[in-house]
Amino acid sequence: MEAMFPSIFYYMPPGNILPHQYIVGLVLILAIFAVLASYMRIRSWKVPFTPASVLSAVLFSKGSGGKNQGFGARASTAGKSTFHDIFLLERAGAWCEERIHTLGRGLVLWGFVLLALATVVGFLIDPLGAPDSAVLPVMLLGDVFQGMIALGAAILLLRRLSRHNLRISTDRNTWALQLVLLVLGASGATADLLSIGGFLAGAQVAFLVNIASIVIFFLYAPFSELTFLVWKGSLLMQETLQSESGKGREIAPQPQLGK
Amino acid sequence: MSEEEKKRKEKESSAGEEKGKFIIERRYVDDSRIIEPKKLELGGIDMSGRWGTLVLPRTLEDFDTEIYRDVEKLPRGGNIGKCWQCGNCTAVCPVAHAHSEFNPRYLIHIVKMGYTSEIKKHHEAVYLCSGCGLCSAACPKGVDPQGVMIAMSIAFKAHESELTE
Amino acid sequence: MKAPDNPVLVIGAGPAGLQAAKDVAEFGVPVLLVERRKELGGAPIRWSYHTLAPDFRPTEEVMGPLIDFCQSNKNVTVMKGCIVDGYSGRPGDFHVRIKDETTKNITEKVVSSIIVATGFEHFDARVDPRYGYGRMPNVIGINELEIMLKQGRVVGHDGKPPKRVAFIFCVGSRDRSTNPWCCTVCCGVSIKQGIEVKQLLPDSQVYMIYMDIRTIGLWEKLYWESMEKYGINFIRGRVGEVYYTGEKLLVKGEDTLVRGPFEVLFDMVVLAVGIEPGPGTKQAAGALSLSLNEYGFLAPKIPNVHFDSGKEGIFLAGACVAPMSVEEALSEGSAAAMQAVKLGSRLMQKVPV
Ligand SMILES: Cc1cc2nc3c(=O)[nH]c(=O)nc-3n(C[C@H](O)[C@H](O)[C@H](O)COP(=O)(O)OP(=O)(O)OC[C@H]3O[C@@H](n4cnc5c(N)ncnc54)[C@H](O)[C@@H]3O)c2cc1C
Ligand code: SF4
Ligand code: SF4
Repeated sequence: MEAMFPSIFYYMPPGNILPHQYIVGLVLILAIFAVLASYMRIRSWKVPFTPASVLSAVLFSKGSGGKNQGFGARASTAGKSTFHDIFLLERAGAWCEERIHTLGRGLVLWGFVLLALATVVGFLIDPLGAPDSAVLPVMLLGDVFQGMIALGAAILLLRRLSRHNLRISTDRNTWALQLVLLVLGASGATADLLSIGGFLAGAQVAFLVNIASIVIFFLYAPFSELTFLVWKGSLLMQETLQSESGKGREIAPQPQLGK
Repeated sequence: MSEEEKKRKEKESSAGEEKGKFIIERRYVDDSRIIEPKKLELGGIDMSGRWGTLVLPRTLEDFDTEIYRDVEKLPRGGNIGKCWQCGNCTAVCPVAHAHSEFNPRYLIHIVKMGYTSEIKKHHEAVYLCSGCGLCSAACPKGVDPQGVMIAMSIAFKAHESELTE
Repeated sequence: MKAPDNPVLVIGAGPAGLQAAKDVAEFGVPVLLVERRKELGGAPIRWSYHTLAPDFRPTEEVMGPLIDFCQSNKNVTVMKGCIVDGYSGRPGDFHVRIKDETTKNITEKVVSSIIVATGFEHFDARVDPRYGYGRMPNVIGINELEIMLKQGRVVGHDGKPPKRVAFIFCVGSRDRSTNPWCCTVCCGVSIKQGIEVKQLLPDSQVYMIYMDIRTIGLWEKLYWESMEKYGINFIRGRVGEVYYTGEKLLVKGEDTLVRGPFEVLFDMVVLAVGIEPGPGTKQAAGALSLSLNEYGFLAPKIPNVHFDSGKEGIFLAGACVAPMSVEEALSEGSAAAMQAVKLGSRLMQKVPV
């Protein structure tokens, strides 16, 4: 094992350009920055920072829909709403007439969630001195998840490119964001694969590109449409929690065309 | 309709729970335009009930374009002014086909014009937008309605206290 | 050879070009009429227009005399299947190279002035795929309906006359992603055709889906008649998509007056395709080094004075300058002819410029 996969670990191809603890630290700092920047940006719109409202609604609110729900019930409502609306993309997906569009969005989302999980797991087991046989699968899974992000971003980009008559309104930010995602996923997925394949130089380049795209992503995300998605998603969840009707949850089935 | 006729009609119909139930062609009058004071006394005479009912005129006093100006400044809302109300966005909007209360073109119209009374009625619907972007692909003027829905939902939230009063 | 004895070159034999050629020739000045296609008459003949808006006059009534004149008058030399490839020289003494598009033979000619009347092309509705043109049966353009009307037989692909017909206005017009200008005639032409469909198939229902009705000037009477005499309905909105259900066409749009989306089934959908500068106009502009405006139409020196190309001795006329109707194209042809004749006599008298 040692010989075949020399000192590779998740996010760290040979050469030890940056020990992965540093990277995790960097990502943490960037994430804190992203949250702060999003907070500032959302507040500059003169609206409440809804992610915080959701938290407080789950923790403290008694609901305004007449029902006096307990904490457990509120948490389960929030959980259900997260699961259906966010992870299953039910709200957005129900209206996407192009399934491929939903698929692209889903791949990016799930790729990110799973990647975060894999990173945490990798981080936790590494200092314990876990054997390569335990670390390697986590690493490879991480690559698969980055591949998902890349694939999803590629789908989203290709969908836009393939439109014959691209309307001029197509937002530049969306292009930029999807491009960053594509680079992020693709470089991350290839860095490890290249190093396994023995292309160390290539692996290092991919690795550096990956780090750069991660930095760009976190610096850029708060100023992109993502902030709005987070804001609106939280807003809907907050309303779901506070009202019985739960506006966010009721989706009429897609009307069948041609009937 | 003469004053007397009106009174006669009013007498004939019995006032129920529903607001202004006795008004002929009731469906043409918005709830919000009917004022029914619980207790109304004029010169010592009790005018409560249907005698005191007022139907507000449909006159629009002002176009309040504050929300419009906010939308223009918010991210992706800057193109709202280009809209010429063709309806292409609503035509392709999958949500509008299932939810009659959501109509991107109409939302743009009332915001642009500053029809505050209409915005009050419809502003909640803006959150139904799924962000699919089909409208932006269809809009002939480059309004980017999907983006405008984003800006609007923020602006409506920022003005929530006025809109729900 | 004295300058005015050189012929006037007219490029394009549509309404504008033919009228210009006729007027110049009637003045006794020789004309060289170069037409890219094999027939004279331009769009109205090429697309077999049945009648002309707004008065339902047969196209032949207007175009026939012009074509006959140009084909028989001794002052007019017609070169079909040819384009102008390049030029040099000065007003009164232009040397032009004329290329036969099939044989590739090049003829050199000396002309005194040049009138460009290269016209327009229909918008290709396949460019905007939402309407299904070219993919779905029974989605046709107004140009194709005009041909059917000429044959006196309006039918779907199955040979049956349509019961419900929808006209969709502004296809490829007034849209930032295709052409942002208004084609000026398609409202009137569509309504004219709607009336003709009703005359032919009185039991059919005809709907016009429009954003704005632009039946300017006297064309307005078409709009009135269509509603008052023929019961044609007008829906204010713009169509987002057309689907084929296997039997009928499902039109998805919004009726902006009742506020709300609609989905209606039709047997036939007619697209009011717009007018755009064609490759012919581009070719002529290249050969004569004329400037184009932001939309690709020939740009007059001053936008309000169509005939003045800004180059002495080169005049513009017709739909190559801006979208327009036949009646306008005819007047523009006449106006350009006047400029050419005027220039010729001025050169002969050596009047200082
Ligand atoms: C479907 C439809 C219906 C219409 N119906 C009506 C109507 O009912 N009434 C009305 O008033 N108007 C109508 N119009 C408008 C009318 O067709 C135009 O106004 C008119 O044809 C313009 O004439 P033109 O001579 O400028 O151009 P065209 O008719 O386009 O003629 C230009 C000619 O130049 C030739 N040419 C092009 N490039 C070159 C080149 N490089 N070298 C040599 N030759 C070249 C072309 O082959 C063509 O023969 C209609 C338009 C459409 C689209
Ligand atoms: S499609 Fe564009 S121009 Fe038309 S109504 Fe919608 S936003 Fe306005
Ligand atoms: S982005 Fe929103 S408004 Fe636009 S078509 Fe989709 S759901 Fe409708």
